Amino acid sequence: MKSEDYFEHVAGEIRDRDMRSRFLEELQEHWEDVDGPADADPSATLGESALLSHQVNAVVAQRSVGWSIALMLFSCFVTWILGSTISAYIPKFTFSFVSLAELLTFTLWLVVAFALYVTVHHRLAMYPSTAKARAIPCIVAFFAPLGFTMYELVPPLLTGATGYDISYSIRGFASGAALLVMFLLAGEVVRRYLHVTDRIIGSVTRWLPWFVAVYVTIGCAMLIWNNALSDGPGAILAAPFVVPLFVAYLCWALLSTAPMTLLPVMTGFWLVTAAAITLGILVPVGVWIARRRLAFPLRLALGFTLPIFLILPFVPQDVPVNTWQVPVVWSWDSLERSQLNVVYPWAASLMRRNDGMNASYGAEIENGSLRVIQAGGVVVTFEDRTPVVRANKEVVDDAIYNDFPTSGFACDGTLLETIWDTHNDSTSPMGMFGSGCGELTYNGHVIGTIDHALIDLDVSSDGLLAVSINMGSYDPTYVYVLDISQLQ
Amino acid sequence: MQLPPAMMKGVADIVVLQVLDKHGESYGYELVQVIGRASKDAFAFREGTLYPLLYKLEDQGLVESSRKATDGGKVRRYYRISKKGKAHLAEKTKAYLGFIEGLQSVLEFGV
Repeated sequence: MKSEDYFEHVAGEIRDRDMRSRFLEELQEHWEDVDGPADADPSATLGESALLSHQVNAVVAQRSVGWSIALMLFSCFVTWILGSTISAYIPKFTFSFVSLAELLTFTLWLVVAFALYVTVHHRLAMYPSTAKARAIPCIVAFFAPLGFTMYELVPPLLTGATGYDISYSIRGFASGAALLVMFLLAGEVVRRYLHVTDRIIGSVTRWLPWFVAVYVTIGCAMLIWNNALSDGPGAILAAPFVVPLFVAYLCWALLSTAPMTLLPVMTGFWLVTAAAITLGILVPVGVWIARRRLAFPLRLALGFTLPIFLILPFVPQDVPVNTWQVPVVWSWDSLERSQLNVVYPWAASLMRRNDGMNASYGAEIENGSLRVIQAGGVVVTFEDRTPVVRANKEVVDDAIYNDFPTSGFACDGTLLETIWDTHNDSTSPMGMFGSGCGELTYNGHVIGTIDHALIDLDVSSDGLLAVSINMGSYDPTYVYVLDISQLQ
Repeated sequence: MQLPPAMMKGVADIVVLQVLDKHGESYGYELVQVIGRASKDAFAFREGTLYPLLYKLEDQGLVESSRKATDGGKVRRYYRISKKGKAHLAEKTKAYLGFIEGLQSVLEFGV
């Protein structure tokens, strides 16, 4: 059709997709202003002009929807590949109904995210703006926390898993909803004051795809090396969520007076890994993509998925199936104090969380053996508990949160309640609380010297104390098991 | 008489800036009309030329734009010259007047 060719010819002069959208809209307005067809397109009559306007909109809309669907399918495919790969690499991760539910949830998240993308993009066709077009991927990218929340929420509902802390999901979902409202409000402000913000946001977001790519790369690197091995594909979605968490934690750690010998090593490792991947692979690939002027959503999709593919080879692949054990290094200087070194990052891959409450360590004695527990699941069993504890109680409860008050404990004279002020009343599965502990006392008795920041404290009813210490990882690196039964 | 496109190319930005400066805030089609009148139809901007040029000027900060609703309810994008654009226009005008003067002298040389 000649008139459509004319559109394409004229609009083809503008390479930038967002600017083309704006240009097409202005062309539409222009033709509406034209008194007669002779002033505009010689081939167009007034009626044709209106028809062409619709065609312009249709072209823009079809492209948006087309790209979005393609992106969604591509992401689903990547998810499938990723899930299969992780399933193959990690023992105990079988394609169970739970993992199927996770996959469905992940897909659902994609559908929701890109339905939103398409919807907003249609609005863009009505109110085109380079700035807003560039801001949309930002919204999609930051929807990852919502995806993470859904990942947490839906599988237990589908499978009827018990012991799941529903409040965790509700809080997470509320956070996601708050994020959504926040971004919508921000979008509305941008729309209303577009003439002011257009230029600023336009220049800021010019580099957004690269920002997203680097951001997700770092997040994925952190997750892969830290916790994603045990969390599956859904955790990848949490990458943008983890980055600020990591930054916050790093600030906290740097401000802490505790000597964290491992932290700089792990931090450096993450950053070097991320930087090497970004500079060595991602940037050249990105330049290649940019030179071919691929459409923006595709660039964004590649920004999301390439890091995952690039990082996968770095995932440890030699985890022995069926014969896995937690690598444990014993060292103790007294019968009262034993140290369980959980070697990182293997522990992260082996300590499965089965009820959504990770980073919760406890200890219990059953049939004469000591068991260290995480999230209700036994991490390791020590048949001979003699060198570990002196307690004799045979009947114990699982040592989980809030079973035992933390009153009576103090670190260098500071009551732990003041440090873990939210701990006693919280069901939060993880809290970055505490500071360099130093001398840990209970009811005035020194029970250990712990020169690290504490992350968690769990006491079983039979007087076993599990002190979890974070050394830069998401999960505790060290777990001290102490017998305080004599002191109660 | 319409000028050849090659001649238009060098002066298109100054023409648009001058019209925006003197005529004030304008939308695309209005600009085309005013430029036609002001140049006695010597400069005929087609939309394929005008809008990309406006985008370029906007990108350079010489022109600003915003969407406004007219009395009739129709929403249009209006363009106006910026402060930077005015300074640019003054500088370019001076240069072009010198150019025109020189060109005129050459063309009238020996006449």
